[in-house]
Amino acid sequence: MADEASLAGFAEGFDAALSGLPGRALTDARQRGMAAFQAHGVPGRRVEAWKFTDLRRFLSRHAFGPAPTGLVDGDVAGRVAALGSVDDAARLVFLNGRLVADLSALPRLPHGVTVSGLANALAKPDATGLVGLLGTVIGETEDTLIGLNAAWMEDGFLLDVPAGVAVPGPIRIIHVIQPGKDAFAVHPRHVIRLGAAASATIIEDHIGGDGAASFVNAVTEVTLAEGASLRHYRNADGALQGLEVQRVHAHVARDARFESFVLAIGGQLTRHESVVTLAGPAAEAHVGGAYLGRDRQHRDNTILVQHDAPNCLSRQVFKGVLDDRARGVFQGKIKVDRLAQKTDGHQLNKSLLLSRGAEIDAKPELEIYADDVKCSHGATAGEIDGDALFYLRSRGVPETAARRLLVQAFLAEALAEISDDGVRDRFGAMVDTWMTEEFSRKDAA
Amino acid sequence: MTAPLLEIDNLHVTVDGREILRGLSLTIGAGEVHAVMGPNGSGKSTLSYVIAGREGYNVTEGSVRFRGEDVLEMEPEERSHAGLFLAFQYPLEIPGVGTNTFLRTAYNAHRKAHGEPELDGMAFLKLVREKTKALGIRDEMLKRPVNVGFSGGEKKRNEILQMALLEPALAVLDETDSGLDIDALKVVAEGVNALRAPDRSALVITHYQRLLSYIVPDHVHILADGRIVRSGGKELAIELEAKGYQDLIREAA
Repeated sequence: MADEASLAGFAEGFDAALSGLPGRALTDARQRGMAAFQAHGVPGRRVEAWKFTDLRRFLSRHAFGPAPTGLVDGDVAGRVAALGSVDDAARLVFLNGRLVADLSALPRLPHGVTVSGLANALAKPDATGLVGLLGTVIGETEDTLIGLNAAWMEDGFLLDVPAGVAVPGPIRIIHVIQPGKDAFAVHPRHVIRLGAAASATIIEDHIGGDGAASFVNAVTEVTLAEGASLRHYRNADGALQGLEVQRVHAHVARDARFESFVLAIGGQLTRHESVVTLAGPAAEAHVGGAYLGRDRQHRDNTILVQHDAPNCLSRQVFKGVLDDRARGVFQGKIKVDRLAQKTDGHQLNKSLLLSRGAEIDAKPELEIYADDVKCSHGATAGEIDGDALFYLRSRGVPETAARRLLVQAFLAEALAEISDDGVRDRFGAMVDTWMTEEFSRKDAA
Repeated sequence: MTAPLLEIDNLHVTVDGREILRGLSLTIGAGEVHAVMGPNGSGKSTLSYVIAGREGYNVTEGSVRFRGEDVLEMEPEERSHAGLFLAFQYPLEIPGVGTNTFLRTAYNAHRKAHGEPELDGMAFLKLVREKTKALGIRDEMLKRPVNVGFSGGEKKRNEILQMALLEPALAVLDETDSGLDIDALKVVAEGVNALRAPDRSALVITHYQRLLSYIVPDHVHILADGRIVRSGGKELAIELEAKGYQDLIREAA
């Protein structure tokens, strides 16, 4: 059992709260989750996977209570409205982890497709179906944060697409963190299931305001049946003082395709962890991201792609720009099972450091047990290319504009991994906005 | 008499503490084409980079004036706006930046610096197509990232295209002939010649006489050991071709 400090108050009041948490059928799972959490507590740098992201230290600065209930304030409502698009097949809005029914709508959802909130689903008398999927992808894990999530989860989104159905527009999930006076934590659980040959695009926007610290410990379980195709895009522009650990576990069957991209652009700490299992032959995983950090922001991308079947393809492409004393972490691993012959695995991480105080810790790993595979990995970190900068300036492009052009060009390679044109353009525009702030700030300094 | 366009006086430059230019003086008037020829290591590239304002070149003595203004006090982009242009010996590759975007950004930066309205995408494309046509550049090149995957000839043509767009008062061509076959060399030379005008000058820096058959200079200077050791007319290049650098430099000493 971990000591009190490492539990960060997350075990307190659990037994008393248990009966009030949604889904009686989950009581056992919640208790097991809490036990797993209590065994090790919040991970710190002594845990190998958290060596570069000392979550224990980040969390120790605050006392996290439960998320306040309340209304979406005017400013946030405006931002939420601006995120919508006429093409959306469905839109769910979560405020501090809880579904806001008034702001959610399911305008263009094909017959048979389920999009709902987890709490609502659990409240139904027959809470089987999707709820039965909870925990099946992550399995019975010893993982301390997944355990914590299992113990406290209240709400999240559920998406179930039956076999053969292609959802026509994006399913938009907007997570709003609206901080109050006191620090709080939420533990959302999301479930995505696509039947055979089904396809869907999910766009998650994580936005937030300024205020006390918040800790988001989210877990997403993805199951893709044979030939299914999921595009999962996330824009992480959370609360200014937000600490977000977003974990996605995906199980990808034969011929299915999983595409994920995270733009980590806001919030104090972000850790995006993906565990993708290519379980059937010719499955594909495209896991990409762009990360932008300044001040003392912390950007962690941790990926494990597990090739368990032959002829699968995986790509990991992560590029980031770090300024001031921002810190980036990239831990990428390709693990190839003995049976996974003809694996094509590729991994790339590049960081651009705009100041001497910025730092990247990159840990690319290959673990290969098959003998007929093609795997590559590469990690680089560096400054803006001085020769390229001079070349642009010698053509009359002012230094600031030249730097900006080179930074944008650098990130373009990562954004090119996004197969949806609309999302790529929008994420590109968000990067532009960040750049404008970045360089106007530098010009002012 | 009007002030010369470029006036280099007693220029001393060190790179990493080593003196590369040791009292170089050179004056270029409006409309003149000068060639600076020299063996490897004589300081040719250093001269071009100091004029363009690359970092890492330490001027310990002397001056460079362009239209009477102190060039050494200007940022590289200010030199460009003032009308200086360096065609690079090894043009840089810039992955992720489309050639058209690059050209338009540069062109509009000039417009802005001169208080002129910037050109929109359509108007610029029209302009750039006129120039590419004249230089035999395929439009497809404009879509590719700057110089990425370009052949040696394409890179040099891209340099000349930039020059044609920016219409500098003084173009410095640093070993523009290196790595070019004779056909590419002709195209590049034609591009340079097309820009010749009474108010425009060029400084052609080269190791070989070959390029000067196509871009005929008014004056030829021999650079050796960081100094101009001999100056003459275009016939000096031919004499150099016959005698070689060693003999010519020995005669000058």
